[in-house]
Amino acid sequence: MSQTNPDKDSPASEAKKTISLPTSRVRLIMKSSPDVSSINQDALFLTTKATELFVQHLALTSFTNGSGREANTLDYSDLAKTAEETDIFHFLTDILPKKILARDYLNSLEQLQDEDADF
Amino acid sequence: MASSSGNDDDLTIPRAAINKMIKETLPNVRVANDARELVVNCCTEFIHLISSEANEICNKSDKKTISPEHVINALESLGFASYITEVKDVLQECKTVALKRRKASSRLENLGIPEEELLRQQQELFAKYSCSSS
Repeated sequence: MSQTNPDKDSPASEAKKTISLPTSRVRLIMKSSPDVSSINQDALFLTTKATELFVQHLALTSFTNGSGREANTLDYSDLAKTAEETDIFHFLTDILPKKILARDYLNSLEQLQDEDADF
Repeated sequence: MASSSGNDDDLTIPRAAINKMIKETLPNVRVANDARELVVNCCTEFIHLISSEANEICNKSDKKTISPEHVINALESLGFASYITEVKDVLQECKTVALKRRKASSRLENLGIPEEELLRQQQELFAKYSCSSS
């Protein structure tokens, strides 16, 4: 039984205060992890709430340590910087490549092609 | 909002939910679009991280289902111990809510018309309509 989308019923709207992310989606993501078989419902709630806390933590830390703070903005580089500098966020560095200029990328591609051409 | 995920790998938390959380955490801060997109992907990554760790802990403990205990241990070993207290509180609340819900629905069953009576009324209606349509 899905306890995800909050209805207008009062018990469910109480649940709304505790969890804002959809647990059904969290479950799907968990199950798409290799080898994960079954997940207890309570474990699902815990994971969902932990994910919410993670979002808040990441956003706040990135903003506080980031260069956008004076301008009251948060951007990509703030997040990338936090991932590199904060131990617990290191796992994000795989999906947070530092953006490089297209020009530099094309240059490095050319270099690779030149090397191949030497064969 | 139409779902864009056709693929398991594209599973993410809905953007709107993330935007709302960011807004609540950083009110009045202008957040770049690509930063928002990034946070959405970070969520997925985090969930995978926790699931894998909890799964490993689960396997070691000879159990087949990931339990709350496994998740809590995973959070601890991955450096997210600071989340544990709040996460446990929510669990307690969810249980209370679920309990209330069950009580509420059983109360409803008791106040309502018994099923046999409903069936009888339904048969009557069917009979009535089949007569009138011929």
